[in-house]
Amino acid sequence: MISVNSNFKHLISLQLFNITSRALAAIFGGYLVAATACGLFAIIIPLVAVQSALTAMMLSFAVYATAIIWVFSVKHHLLAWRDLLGLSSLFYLIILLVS
Amino acid sequence: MKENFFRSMTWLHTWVGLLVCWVLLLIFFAGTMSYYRHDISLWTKPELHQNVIQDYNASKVQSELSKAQRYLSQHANNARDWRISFPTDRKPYLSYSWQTQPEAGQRRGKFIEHVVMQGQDEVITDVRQSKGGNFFYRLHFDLHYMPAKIARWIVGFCSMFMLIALISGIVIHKRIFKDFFSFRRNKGSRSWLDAHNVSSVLALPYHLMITYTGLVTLMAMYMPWAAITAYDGDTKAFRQELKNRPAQVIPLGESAKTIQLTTLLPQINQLFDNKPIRQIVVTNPGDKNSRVSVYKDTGETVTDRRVATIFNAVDGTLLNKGIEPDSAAQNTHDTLIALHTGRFSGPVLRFFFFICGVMGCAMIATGTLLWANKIRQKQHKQINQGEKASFGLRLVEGLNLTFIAGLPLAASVFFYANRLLPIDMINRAQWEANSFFIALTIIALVACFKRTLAVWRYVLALSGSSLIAIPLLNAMTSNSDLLRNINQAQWSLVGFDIMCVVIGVSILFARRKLLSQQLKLPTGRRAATRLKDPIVIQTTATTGKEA
Repeated sequence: MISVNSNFKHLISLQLFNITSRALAAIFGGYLVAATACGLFAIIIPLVAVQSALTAMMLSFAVYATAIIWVFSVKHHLLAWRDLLGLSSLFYLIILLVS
Repeated sequence: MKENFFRSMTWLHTWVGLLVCWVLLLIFFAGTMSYYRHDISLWTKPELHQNVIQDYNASKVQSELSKAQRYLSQHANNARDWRISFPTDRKPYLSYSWQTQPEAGQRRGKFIEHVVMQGQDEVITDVRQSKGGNFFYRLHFDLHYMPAKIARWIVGFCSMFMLIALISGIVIHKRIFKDFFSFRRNKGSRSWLDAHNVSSVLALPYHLMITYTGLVTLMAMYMPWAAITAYDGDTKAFRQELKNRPAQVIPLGESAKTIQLTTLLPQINQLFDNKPIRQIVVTNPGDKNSRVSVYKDTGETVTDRRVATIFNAVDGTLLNKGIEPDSAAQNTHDTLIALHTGRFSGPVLRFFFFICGVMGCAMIATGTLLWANKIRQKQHKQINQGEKASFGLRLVEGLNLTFIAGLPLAASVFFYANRLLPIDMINRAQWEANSFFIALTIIALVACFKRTLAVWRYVLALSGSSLIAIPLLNAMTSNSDLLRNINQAQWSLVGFDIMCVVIGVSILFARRKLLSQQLKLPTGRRAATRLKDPIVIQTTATTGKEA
């Protein structure tokens, strides 16, 4: 097609890395946040077990969606990983503390 | 990601939409068909087209029930369960069905259904083997040729993509109201964009609702973590409590006489407030440990969970009144699921659901056509100089042809197979399903080699005319026809035929549109038969460059 100089190639590989990293963060990191949030909601929502579990599950997809949008809106892809992993470990810690 | 949030979301919308849009189209298509699941099932069983359809008649329930019990004890003595289904709006006939004892290693036995004719003395036993509407219903979330569990994860994954595509789509659609009223015809990619906007925005609440509630229907599988923390890992206990369903009744192996079911009727009517009964199920008939479960016809109630009123089938004691636990979370959950399935909807509302589903298909189809159109414009110069289109473009165009033009054709082939395959064929129901996928595969193979407008027109002509001929097929292969069905007010069958004709005509109309588009292009050019637009127009909403 067009002759590609090495600078351009470098940029492409950077961009590809950026996108792959974000996609992985969105799919797996996002799920981790949603899953931990789901588990957390189930024990902190003050309802009967079956009801709080239901509510938590119903809400979890909204959390997942928000996390994914977040991944694609922060400046650097490593920031996305930091936020998601930080948030999910925080949630997990609270789960361990509460139960 | 990009320079700003708006641009990032534009990028996200394009790629998230494009990556899974063909699976999504299949899911949307099958789901939209599923709104008419029972009507399709009825159509695919022409043995039931005459003298079968009837309304629920409370005064006849007693005699129907005693006849049913007599019939089932004669014909299904050793069955695992008996099911007596009374006519409802969606399934307007009386039927006796049963499940045979499962063979070793199988979880379920064979399901046999005999349908009672009007007048109640004759029973139709030789209904052809067909999946009918259930094929599309299952296709919607179990796909095909793969374990249900894997399929459901794939469907969930795609639904999440859909949700993200919707959210990012809303974000980038700054001029949501202005664009809503503009539709520029015959303007190439600008028109595809307008069509994409209209079909998305017009039914936006529906799209958001159907995607989110779709995830909710299978949430216990996707997000079991709430149950795991709240029940200390015992998800079974959660499900038990949620469904309020008593554990499975295991036969004791001692025989006992089943109670005369009609003696339970006064009690049922009192519990149900004389509302119609939908189904009576006898589990382990003839065994000492046997139950009678009675289900109410929930009609147009929104929270339509299937809750059983349960009796002991030997002595007739009431074991479970079947009153739903009433809580905000449960009701919200039920409502979300009901919104997805639309079981509560009457004919008018159901039709609107169906139209919204069609708009969803249009949204997905126009989105990917728009993408292909724009990329082709970008490569316009190279292609005109005799270079090949890029692999990505060829792939997308091939998949577009296969799924957008192919799905209606495949559905039509399914209906033809239903009527034309030999009645006593082995695995008949499976071959109907196979024929659906064979049709799709043939188009995919054609698309590997040729994706020109001519192929599109050919496929559209084929599916359009075959759909228009459906009433003819019905008249020739069943014991009634469209006019007779109108006369006898069999609206399900009439609706099916008319809907096929309407869809067929619109497909032929689309084909005509493609024809006129081709004529306007200058002749003698190599790419003259390709779908393209000579005028390159800046599409502000998708590139994010605000004009």
